[in-house]
Amino acid sequence: MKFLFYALSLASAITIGFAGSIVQRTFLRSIAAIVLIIVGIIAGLQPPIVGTFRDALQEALSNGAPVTVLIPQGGATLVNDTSLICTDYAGGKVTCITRHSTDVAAQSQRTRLLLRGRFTTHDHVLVQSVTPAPAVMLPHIPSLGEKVRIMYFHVPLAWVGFLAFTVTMLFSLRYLRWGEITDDTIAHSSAVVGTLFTVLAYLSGAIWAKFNWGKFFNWDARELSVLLLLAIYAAYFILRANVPAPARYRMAAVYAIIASIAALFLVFIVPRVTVSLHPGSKDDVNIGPMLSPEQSALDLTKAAVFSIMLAGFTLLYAWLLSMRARLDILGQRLIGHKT
Amino acid sequence: MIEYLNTHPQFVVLIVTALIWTGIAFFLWRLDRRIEQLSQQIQERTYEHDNNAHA
Repeated sequence: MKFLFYALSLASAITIGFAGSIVQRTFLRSIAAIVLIIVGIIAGLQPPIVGTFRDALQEALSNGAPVTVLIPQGGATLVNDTSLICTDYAGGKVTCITRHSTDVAAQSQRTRLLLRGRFTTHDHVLVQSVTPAPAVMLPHIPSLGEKVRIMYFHVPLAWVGFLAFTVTMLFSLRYLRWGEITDDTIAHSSAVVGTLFTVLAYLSGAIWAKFNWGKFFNWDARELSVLLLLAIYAAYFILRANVPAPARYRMAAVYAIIASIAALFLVFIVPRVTVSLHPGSKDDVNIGPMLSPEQSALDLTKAAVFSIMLAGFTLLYAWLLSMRARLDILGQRLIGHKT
Repeated sequence: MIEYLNTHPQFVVLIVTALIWTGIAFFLWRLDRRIEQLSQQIQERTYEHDNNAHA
């Protein structure tokens, strides 16, 4: 189901983003990008992150951050004045100790609850607070805690970076086939925007790595492969800047096509066949929270928020690409402005 | 600082999102500067063209 979400959001974003021609201004492209990004930011940052008692226990054992547990309606059964049997949304049961057990049991009959507490033994939780659950909640992902929200920005940025380099390759092919300067300009603009998104994905990943793995740079296979990818595209810009036109266009197009093959290899193959800290590496059975086939009750909420951000960033890329390409084309047409 | 951020992960999320939007804003600022340069060059060309026409 979540893969359907991703596929649909991407297909719609690419269709809207590239509708008509990328060198034409479309109202739908910009308005859809703005709306989706705003909705995505709110949906990625505002809802609470909730887990199960099992998640809470695992985090408590590893000295991780406390986990807020979601109790479905009717999930708290009164035992006595100070204790309840609480069932989380995955069916896990523990004894919850609180002075307000009667109130909590009564509230649980009416609505879903968010319970925050501390494990005293593996099946006893000392309750610190109980609040009614909001409509939208994001699932807890082991060892990430609140930092999981970064995933809703970092992964779409990295995806859009790769999409941009693919678009560079496609327009380079078009240039080689038809010889239109406009295609070369779009290819170059796409590489510029792709580099921006890849650098932002790299920097956001570095900050995330510092607080999850201890260092900004960990000599991880994916970190290295993306760094190499950026070096390859830096060479593309140097090549364009130093070869005079018209030889520049043909050379840049051939280079971009070869670079896109390297990009495919560096983004999808190298991190999967080497040992890495990123999910989905050779020694890891887990392919990551976004692609894992494991299902949880809040999986669709996570997939929906991720899909919104994926579509939002794809449209933002199309919008920036359109602006940059139109500006360059205008410069070329009016005063022979070099890109 | 690092210790504080380790215990308050919401600020790490805030820093990352601020960094991303700062990067995109920087790109837009550069684009704006290029538009300005282009606009100035067009004005200069128009001015030269008008002068030549009068002469």
